Amino acid sequence: MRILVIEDDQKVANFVQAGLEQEGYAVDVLHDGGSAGEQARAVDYDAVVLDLMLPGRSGFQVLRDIRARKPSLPVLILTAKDGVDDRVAGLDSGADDYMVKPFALAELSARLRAVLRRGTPRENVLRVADLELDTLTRAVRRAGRRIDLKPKEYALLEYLMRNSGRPITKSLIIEHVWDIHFDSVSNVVEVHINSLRNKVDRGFNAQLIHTVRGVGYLLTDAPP
Amino acid sequence: MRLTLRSRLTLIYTAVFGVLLVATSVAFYRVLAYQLDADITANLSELTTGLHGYLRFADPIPTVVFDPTDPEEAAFVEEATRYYQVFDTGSGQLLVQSDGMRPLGLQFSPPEVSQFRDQQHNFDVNTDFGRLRLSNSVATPGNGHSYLLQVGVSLLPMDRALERFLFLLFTGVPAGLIVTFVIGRWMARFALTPLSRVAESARTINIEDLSRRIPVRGARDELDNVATAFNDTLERLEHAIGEMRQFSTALAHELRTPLAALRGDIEMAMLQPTDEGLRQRFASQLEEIDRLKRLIDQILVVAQAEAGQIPLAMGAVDLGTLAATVVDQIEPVAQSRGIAMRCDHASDAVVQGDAEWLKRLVLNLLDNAIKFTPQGGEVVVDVSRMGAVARLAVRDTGIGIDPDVQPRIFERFFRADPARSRGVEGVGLGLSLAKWIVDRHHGRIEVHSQPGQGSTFTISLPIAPRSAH
Repeated sequence: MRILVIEDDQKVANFVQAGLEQEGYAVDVLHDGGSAGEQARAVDYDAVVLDLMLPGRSGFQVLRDIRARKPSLPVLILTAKDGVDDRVAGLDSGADDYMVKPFALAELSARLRAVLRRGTPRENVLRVADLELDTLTRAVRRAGRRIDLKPKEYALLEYLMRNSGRPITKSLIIEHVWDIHFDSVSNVVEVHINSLRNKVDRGFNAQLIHTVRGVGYLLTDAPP
Repeated sequence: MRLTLRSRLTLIYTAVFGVLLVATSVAFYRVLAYQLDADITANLSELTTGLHGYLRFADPIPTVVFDPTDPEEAAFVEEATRYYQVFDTGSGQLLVQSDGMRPLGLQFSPPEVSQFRDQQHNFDVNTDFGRLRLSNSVATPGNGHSYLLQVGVSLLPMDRALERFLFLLFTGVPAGLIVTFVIGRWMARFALTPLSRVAESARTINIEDLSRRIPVRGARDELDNVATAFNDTLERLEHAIGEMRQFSTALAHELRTPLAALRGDIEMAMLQPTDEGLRQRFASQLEEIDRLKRLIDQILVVAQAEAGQIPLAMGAVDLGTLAATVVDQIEPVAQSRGIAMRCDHASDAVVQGDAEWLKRLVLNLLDNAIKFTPQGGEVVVDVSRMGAVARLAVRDTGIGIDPDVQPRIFERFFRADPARSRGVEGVGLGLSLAKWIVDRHHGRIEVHSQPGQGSTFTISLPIAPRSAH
């Protein structure tokens, strides 16, 4: 998988590149948007990570350039602005997703996975070790034993299992599981993770739900 | 009591006019009374002098002698002799009394007669037939006798005229005042209506749309002055807000980009296999950066909100269902802290609003309630409708708010007693944001709180017009 990163801030560009390479992506970096369109056409990228505030040209113009040449190339926008208008404008102009700085690498890779996965059929039955979740019947079993979950707990578990093996940030969880924008308010996620742990992990030797300090949560049977 | 400018103008106008009216009336009355009185006195003295010329004292009893064929003379004598009487000054005896005088019962004793003789001036007496003015004059015809002649003029016509005039004043002045009040009110309205129109068009200009201006009529009068001054202020405001918007955008960018780089550096450092202690320190730095990010987010939201940069997507919102949804989502948090949470809601509290922001409002209040309520406490949400108002109350059994600081809790960055909110994350923006949301929905937010007992936040929002049947 090859990713084009267009970001003028050297440090941010570096860490995005390093982080994505760590995840196994091939990464090219452009520091301004001038040649982005050309580059996107010349090289067969799988996705673009685009900063909205670039010297000389606005990210929106770059986005239009890319879209003109590669209409279906997934574009993930990075922005330091967090205005409602900016979000709408970003998504309206054809971006697939956006992310506000500063962001966790885990969030970037999760969003990237999501846009890359778009269009591919989803698994109906998710499995991690002896934990099994059927998205059709909404049945959850661990070691064959049925686990009863409340709707939010179920949604949280499904999201964690779909991203199993990779840390997921709290803001991603809130975005996917809740329809309320909690920002800093309350430890809703912690509370649900705790109750989920009580139901899924309690009584088992292998703990599946892990806290990654400074990042978020991780569901895996092979903790780092 | 606060009076409107219109009422005040009307009252001042009426009062000034009233004082003038009363002063003029009193002056007129005085002048009229004086003039009538002076006329009567002059007439009396004329009658007295004239009557002296017609009196003959040949007999011991004086008689009036005149030429009845002369109509002028006859008329004069008739008037002069209507009320007259003659006394002998020596004996004080009444010698002659006219028919008009007789029923009045004006008998004077000899000492009185001699007193009249000595003083010889007019005096008024009250009789059953109204007041009478009498003149005293002495005639000494040279027959060894001296006579006191009293001639009278009735004051009744004058008194009646003055009475009528007074009656006119007492009815006319209040009537005049009423008319003045009505005219004054109309004039005040006439003068103030254009001003209200200016105010009305000023009110339609909100912070999101500062490019609008109040129409100037071009009459170059005081009202155009007001409109122009207002437009100048708008101009400056528009400019300032524009700068503020640019500033908050620039601030966001300048703060977030280095934070992103910093966060990235730390994350990259964490990827290197290092000892656990170092990893913990990196993780703690990431947490701090996330805290900073949330703080920047909140400050920006409040800054943008106050700069009017956040448009609301208005629609019909069932406040009860909305509150129940939020309670449902945050209830596990309350439960995890040993706090019971409940939501009682009516189904007819439909308001016009932005559902996302209203959710955030309820969430902020619930979050606050949970933060400041100890284990074993209770948080109750109650949504009801009272006429044209939807009410949402969040009641907790928490630590409460000191009465001294209650008026300040909606201020930005205000946090009550840091000792009591220790360990509670937040920077004191939640309630100021809550207030902003309520204000944008044309509602009110109030707090009732007793330290140690708990707090109740009550929000009142107008019922959506369509459902207000």
